[in-house]
Order: sequence, then C-alpha cells, then structure tokens
Amino acid sequence: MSVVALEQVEKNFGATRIVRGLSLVAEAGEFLVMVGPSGCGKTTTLRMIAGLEAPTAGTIHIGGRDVTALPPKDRDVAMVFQSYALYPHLSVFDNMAFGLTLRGAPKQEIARRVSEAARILELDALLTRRPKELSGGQRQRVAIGRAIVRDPKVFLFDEPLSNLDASLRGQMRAEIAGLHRRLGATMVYVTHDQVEAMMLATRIAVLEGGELRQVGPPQELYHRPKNRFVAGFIGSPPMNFVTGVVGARGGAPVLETRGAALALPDAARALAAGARLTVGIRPHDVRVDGSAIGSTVGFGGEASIVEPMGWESYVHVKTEVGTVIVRIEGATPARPGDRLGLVLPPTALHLFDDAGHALAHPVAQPPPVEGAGG
Amino acid sequence: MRRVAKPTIAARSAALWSATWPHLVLGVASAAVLYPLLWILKMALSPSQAFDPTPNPIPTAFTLDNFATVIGTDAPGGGWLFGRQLANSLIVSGATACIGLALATTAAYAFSRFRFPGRQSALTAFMVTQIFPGVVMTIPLYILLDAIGLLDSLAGLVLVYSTTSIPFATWMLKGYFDTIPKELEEAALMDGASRFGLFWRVVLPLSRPALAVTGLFSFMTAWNEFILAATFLGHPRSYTLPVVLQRYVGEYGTDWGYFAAGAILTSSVVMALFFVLQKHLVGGLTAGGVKG
Repeated sequence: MSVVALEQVEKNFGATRIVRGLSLVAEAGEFLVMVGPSGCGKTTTLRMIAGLEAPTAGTIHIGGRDVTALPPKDRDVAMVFQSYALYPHLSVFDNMAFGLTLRGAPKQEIARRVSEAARILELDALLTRRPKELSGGQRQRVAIGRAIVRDPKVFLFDEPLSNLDASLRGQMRAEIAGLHRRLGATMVYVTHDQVEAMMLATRIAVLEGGELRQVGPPQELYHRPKNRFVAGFIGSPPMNFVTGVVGARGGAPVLETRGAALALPDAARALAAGARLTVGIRPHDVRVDGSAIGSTVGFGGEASIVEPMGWESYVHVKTEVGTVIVRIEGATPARPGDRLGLVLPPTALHLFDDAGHALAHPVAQPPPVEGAGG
Repeated sequence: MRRVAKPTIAARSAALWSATWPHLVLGVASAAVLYPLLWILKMALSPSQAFDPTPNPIPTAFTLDNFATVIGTDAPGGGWLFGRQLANSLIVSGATACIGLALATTAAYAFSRFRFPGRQSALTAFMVTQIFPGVVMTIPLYILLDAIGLLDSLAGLVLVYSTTSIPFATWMLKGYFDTIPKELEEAALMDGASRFGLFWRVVLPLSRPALAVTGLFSFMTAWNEFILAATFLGHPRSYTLPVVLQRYVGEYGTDWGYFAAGAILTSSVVMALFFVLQKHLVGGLTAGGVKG
C-alpha cells in the first residue's frame, strides 16, 4: 500500500494543454476514481502516474519516493489497459507470469503466484489457452491477473470495463470491488462512466479541461457538489438546472426566469436582487403533484419523453421554467403528450452563482458517508 | 409446367457457368505458369544436350544422367566442386538473410516507434535507393571491393547483398511493426521490460510472418543474383550456383540438359525453404491481444 501524490502536474502536447496544475493524492489503500468527459486529461494523468508519459511540469511521488523521472519498470505499479493488451503469442499462464519472469523470480514462486491469482479470478481452467481463445470478460480477468501476480504498490486501471457488454460490466465491477477489499492495495481507476465511479470509489476526482473540479467521497460529490459541472456530471439522470435572476415575491426570494418565478430556499435571502443564479434539483427530489400549479413551487407541463426502467421511470416535462426530468417510483401511466404538475421544493435546491460555484445545498440532505462504495 | 421448367434450366446453366469460368481461367493461368517448368524438366530428363524445339512439354525420355553429371562435377585439382558451389550459395544467401534481417529489424523498429531528426529523410533515402537497378552499381562496387580486398570472396558478396537488401527489408518490416498495437509494448514496459526487452520478447515473436517473408525475400534475392556474382567472383571454387549455371552456356554451344538439370537443382533449395517457412507466412498473429 502506497500513497500516490501528484503536485502541480502539467502536461502539454505541443501547444495543447492537456493537464493543468493538477494536485491530487490517492491515500494508501484508497480506491481513487478519476472521472470526466472525453479529453479531460484523466487517462493522460494515469499514464503519467504509470510512467508512460512524462509530465511537462510538476512532481509525482509514489510511496514517498519521487518517481517523476523514473521509467515504468522502476515505479512498481501495474496497469490494466482498456484494450486488455495481452501478449497474443503467450498462454494465459505466461501472460500472467511475464512480469515475474522479467524480474528473474524463481519458477516455483512464479507458479505459486500465478495459480493464486488464477484462483482468485477463476482462471484456473484457462491457463494454457491463448488470448484469442478467450471471451472479452476472460481476457480482462487475465489482464487484471497479470497485475495481481506482481503484487505492485499501486494498481492503475484505464477504463478497464468499457469494452465489455452491460451485464459483464456489472459482474466485473463487482469483482474489481471485491479485489480491492481483498488486496487492500492503492488503486487509481479512470472511467468516463460516473455510475461506475460512484459504485467503486472511496473517493472520486472529477476532471474537466485538464483541471480538477472536485475530489471527495461519492456521496459528498453527489449531495454537495462544489460547482455546476460536478453537479451535472455526477448523478444519472443528471441534475435539472434552471437559470434566471434573483427576485422577490411577498418578501420571499424567487428565481425569475422566462416570466415565471421559482421559490428559492432561505439561503438565497443573502443574494442581491437581480444577480444571475442557477438552481439545480435532482430528478428524485422533484414531486409529481398538480395541486401547487400556479404557485412559486408548482409548475405544469407536457411530458415529452417517458423512460420506463421497470423499477422506476423518468419523465421529461416541458414546464414554464424549462425541461425538468422527474423520477417516478415504479411504472408510470404517463405518456408523451400528457400534462403533469410538478413541485420543485425550495429545500431540495442547489444554488450556483454565475461562475458556476456552489452557493448553497439542500438543508435536509443526509451527511456524506465516508468510504462508501469500493 | 413448361413455363416453370424453362427458367429452371436457364438458371441451372447460369449457375454452372458461374461455377465453371473461374476454374477455366485458373486452369489457363496454371498451364501458362507450368508450361516452361515442364519444358525445363523435359530437357533435364532428356539424354541429349540439344535444345528441344518441339512445343510438347511432356518428357518423352527419362534419364537422371544430367543431374548426376551436374552434381558430380569435380574440381580440376580434386574435391567436390558442385558441393563447394552449393555451399557457397547457401553461405552467401543465408548470411545475407541473417545480417540483412538483424540490421533491418532494429532499423525498422526505430523508424516505426521513435520520432527523431532525419527520420523522414532517411526513409525517403531508403526508398530512393530502390529506384536504381543493381547493375548501375556494379563498377563502383567492384572498385570498392577491390580497394578493401574483398574481391573474389564470399564475404564481399555478402556485404554487397546485405547492404542492398536492407532498405527494402526495413520498409517492409516497418510496415508490419506499425500494425502492432502500442498498448502491447506499454504493457511490457509496465511489466518491467526494457526497450530492448520488449522488442525481443514481444515485438519480434509477433513479427514472425514479416520476418519469414523478409528473410525469404533476402535469401531468394541473394540466391538468384547473377550479374554481381559473375562480376566479383573470379574462381570456380568461389562461384555461386547462378554463375555455375551460366558456365553451361558456351560460346559455340549450350549444354541444355545440364543447364536444365542445374536450374531445377538450384530452384529446389528455394522451394524447400518456402515449404519450411510456409506455416509462418500467415497473418493474424496478434489476434486476441487487444480489443477490436
């Protein structure tokens, strides 16, 4: 178990700045997941930790040692690639043994560690096969096995599940979570799938445009996003946003937008009238209730899209304040074109200033749970 | 009934024709390729040394005397001359293939994976050398070999053949290395391999088809080369087989029987080599390594 620490790391490819002043720490034994949209620099950051890319500026420490200028082989880290990257000419056993063979480990030791990893990953029966004789899930397990046998200080995962189909992805996700519990090793994991991040991570680092937007436990990012980007990126379906200016109705603060007024929580009283403001509300905090239509919390609208998931449904409703996605428990009789009344409770609103920084979060949220997932 | 039967017959003949015509074309092409070979075989098996002007390629007589004479040629001072000349050809071609491959694989890997000043111009220069026919270089090479004392020596011939085969081999291998996924090399780096280690343990084993093709090509080029060998080699004991074959073509007459038998013996080595390497001349070795 080792701490991975990045300090003011920069990476430029020519004139393009891929990673900008990134400072990030993965604590010993932590499962740190880096998420962000394509091109946010998360894979480049992982490759810099691996030693496959050299940072333009900044330092990287692994286990207290400055590894910035060291080649990959001297960093004692293992990496699982998105494309598996198995050696096609070697058997599963030889693929897993490759790193130990290079390090001159005794044959008995290699055999013991490969069979131990094969047992954990249920690859015992496949050890003599070549990669082309394996399914996608089996190949990815071999790639993980290749990392395990080396018993490295740090495991790096570069979108390891994105080539698998949905059901296999769920299974492998559980296996990786189990592996982290079993090995207790430091793991840094890159994905663009925020659901995967929420389920696996001890902490999540959200990157955008090469910069760190927020890092914290999944529940903290979900309930107390520091900015509008994180609020919109974490959570599926995404948070609803309504932008307008601060006003007042009957002495209470409201958000004025498109001629409508949306009641704001008490926290908004401190805001100057006329200031631009964005409010956000999670789909599960919106209620379907037609009784409040015409007030500053209730809005009517027409359902445009209905997404039945079985255990819940998402309905996209075009209201006076914009399109709002609402989560409904179980099945819904609503069909596209139906009129629905929605309630947007002020206590469930997140407030963001014009620059996207969070000003206030819902007051009634449960406290963030440390160490969720992973 | 008649209305149904007619199109059926037409459809059947169309199907028969579409199945037959490729075979007809292939049959004609095969005959065109095999005809001269059969004709050479006929002359090699014939007891006469005369040129056979008849168009029939099927052997009318059968004797192995021509083969026995060619193989059994002894040197004037004693010793098995043909054996020596066969060994010369094997040594020259084998060494050319080995030296050419050893230098071309490392060069091709560098061209494929590294970006360095002069890379593009070097690649272009390699290409440009292929434009000139080898015969253009005969006199300069003769002078060079003479200057370094390698005229009439197998080492000199190996040096010339290797250097002329490297540009083509480098281009060919670079093309293959370009197709090997970089992730495989990165995985090897993560596993603790050095640059040379991953080249040796990952890239080369995956390049077997390309190495086999390139090696075979270098070997065949050296094996069949005549003009430079005939120019640089002055003594029958240092001749390679193509030069030996030419000796049967005399000023006043040609020993066609010996010539044909020698041609078959010479080409049989390359054919044998081709059959041995055949299983390596397949693609798809990287299948299963990476997704996609």
